Amino acid sequence: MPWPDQGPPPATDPSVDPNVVHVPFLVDDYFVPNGCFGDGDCGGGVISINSRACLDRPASAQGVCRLYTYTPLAAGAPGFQGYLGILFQDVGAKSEGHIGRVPPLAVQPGAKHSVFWAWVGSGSVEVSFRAGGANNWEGKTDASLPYRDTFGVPKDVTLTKDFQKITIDLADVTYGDVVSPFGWAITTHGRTEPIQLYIADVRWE
Amino acid sequence: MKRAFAAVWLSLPLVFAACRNEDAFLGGGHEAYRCSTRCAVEQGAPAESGDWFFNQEAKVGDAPEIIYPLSGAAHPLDLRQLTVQFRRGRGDFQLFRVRVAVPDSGLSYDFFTRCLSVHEDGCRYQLRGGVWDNARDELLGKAAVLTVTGSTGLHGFIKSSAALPLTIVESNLVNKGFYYWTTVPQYSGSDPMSDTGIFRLPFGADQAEPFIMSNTRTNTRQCGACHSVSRDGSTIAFTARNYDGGPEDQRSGSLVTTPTAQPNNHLIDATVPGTYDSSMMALSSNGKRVLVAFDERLELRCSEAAGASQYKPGEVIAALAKADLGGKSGYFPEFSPDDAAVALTLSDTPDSAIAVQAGDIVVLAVDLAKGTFGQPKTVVPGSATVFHFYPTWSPDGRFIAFASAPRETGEDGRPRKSYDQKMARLRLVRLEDLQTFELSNATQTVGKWSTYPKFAPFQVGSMSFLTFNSKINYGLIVDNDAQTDDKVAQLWMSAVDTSKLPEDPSSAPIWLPFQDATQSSHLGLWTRDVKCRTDIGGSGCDFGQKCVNDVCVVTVK
Repeated sequence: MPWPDQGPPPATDPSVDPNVVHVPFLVDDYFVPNGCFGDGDCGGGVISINSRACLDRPASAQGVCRLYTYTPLAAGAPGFQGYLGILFQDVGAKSEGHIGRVPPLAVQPGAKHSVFWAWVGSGSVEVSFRAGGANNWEGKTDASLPYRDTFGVPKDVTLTKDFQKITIDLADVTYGDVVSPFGWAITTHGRTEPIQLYIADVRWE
Repeated sequence: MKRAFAAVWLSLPLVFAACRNEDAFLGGGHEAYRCSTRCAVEQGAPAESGDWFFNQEAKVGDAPEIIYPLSGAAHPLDLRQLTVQFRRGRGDFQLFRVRVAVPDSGLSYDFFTRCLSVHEDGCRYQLRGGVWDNARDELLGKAAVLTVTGSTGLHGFIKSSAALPLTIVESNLVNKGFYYWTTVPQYSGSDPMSDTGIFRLPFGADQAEPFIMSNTRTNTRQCGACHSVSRDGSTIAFTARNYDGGPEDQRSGSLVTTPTAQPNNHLIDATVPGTYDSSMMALSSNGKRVLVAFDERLELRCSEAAGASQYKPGEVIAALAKADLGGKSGYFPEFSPDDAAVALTLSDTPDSAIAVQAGDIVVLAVDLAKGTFGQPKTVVPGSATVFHFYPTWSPDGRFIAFASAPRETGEDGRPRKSYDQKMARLRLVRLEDLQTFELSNATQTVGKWSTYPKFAPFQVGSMSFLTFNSKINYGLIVDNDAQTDDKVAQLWMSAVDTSKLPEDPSSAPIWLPFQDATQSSHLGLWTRDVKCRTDIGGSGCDFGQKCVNDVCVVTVK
């Protein structure tokens, strides 16, 4: 995105709408990873989130780095679904985090992409990242729930131990209110050993 | 060529713009800005960012306004991050230069960033990493200023914030221990949804680790907020309480002490539920004695391991009742650095087990070897209009910092109390002449709950560091002023340079960056170091640390 040269400014300052989240922004400044779905309905220790565990992070990171440790349930185990995902959402009333019950935030139009860094503790893991998609994951919507994203942009990436800078293109997305600007999901394909997923510095810009 | 063309093109509307009192680009050349060792360009900012700031100063519109750091803040050399927060000013500013410079010296560091949005019209930029490390080293002790300049474009206009004084000070705090009470949300999937308890870290670490946590082996009861840690870092004491069904005035709870290397293995374990023997307490410097305030009396108890002395763990060595303290009750004790005295609040108007409605700051001589106390000496008397509480010794033992608040009816219609006191302000008494001084720069504004001061037990020359809780705004990230009921207390630190007396010796405070800004943090306490845990596997230290000579040290740079 080239930066435009600017001519003389308007006679008055453009107003800054205080009711919208302005782009660019750090997702963690407005949203939290409270929307979990998948194995065991995220109970019983299948997922832990640690904000203290990033021993190293990209030098340019301005935002939070988190370690997600997902311990998949074995096929046939109670609650087994074969996947787990987490969506970032606003903190709902009374700490509500259930996907579809958390209202959206108004986000300034014009974001071109969501960008972040990700890596895993060992091996290689395919992760489905997503911008949007709350109560609208691959077109599936529960109409009985009050809120959903009107868009969902997927990005499937195979992660290794090396830092990867990942971009989700939003250029063709029309949005206004955003329930979940960022999320991820992992399908286990029978894997049961714990997966350590690191994600840092998630931005919309 | 492109630039020259733009200058000619843009000069055309100059006449008209000037007539309307608007800005107009006048053109002009400069040598291209070279971003070298004293410069950093943030992700997403253009490579030629430096060239955006050779423009003419805008005549219209607002300049950026720095909200954090606070004017006159003293930033410790050991603290590796500083999140600058500013209002963007003109809405068409596209790029910002955060500059830390020593005026008239040629020394300046530039950081170029877009506006990473925070709050309604604010921006944030976190200074961290190699360039900021070098900047702190080079700016150490110099009278630096921070400015934020906005630019509308490569050939646009600029406007700068007011220059904000900022000093980098020698601190020697790295790897010193810090313990505090807070809550950390766990968000998805966890049960419980948050970790609540006493956390700790070696100073310089990015994050604190959970240490004494409710409903775990470290604290089998529901709450353990009131705590003390020995200056040598060896021992922690806290009151373990169950709040379900307990009395509202907090007259419940049992003393626990434990080596910090083995918080699962208590030296003094909580007694049977229903026994009340502890509210607030102070450990001696080596952790071998603990002075417990509860039920309007003080008890000096042994906190050594069995067989280490003539006393059993937990044995009461001496007790002081109201009659021994001039008819008043003792609260909030803290041993002097040499353990020869105790500072405390004496009150004849208690509020609860952990709070008073009136109080003096007194010093009590103590002989720990003999287990005896002298007569109380009042160093800051309370009055009908003001009371004093939460005393803490300076590292050299010459001063005591404390909090004061007016004796009046509070917002709840009840007499003001020391706990959760909105009107608290920070003060200092010099013991040699009992002269008191306001720490106004540290307090910032009365009415923001600036309270519970604790000196770090180390100093550099005449400068020491004072941490406290406050509900002042953390820039734009924590806007407590906009909240009515959900204000968030955070931990702040001010440098106190007693060579400045009788002027205010305190600096504007800095926010301690290892906190979660969405959660309240309280009761910060300093120790010489953080002991490696030996009751768990691994190194006994948190992420990004290693155990060296039984002490956790920060390794992540």
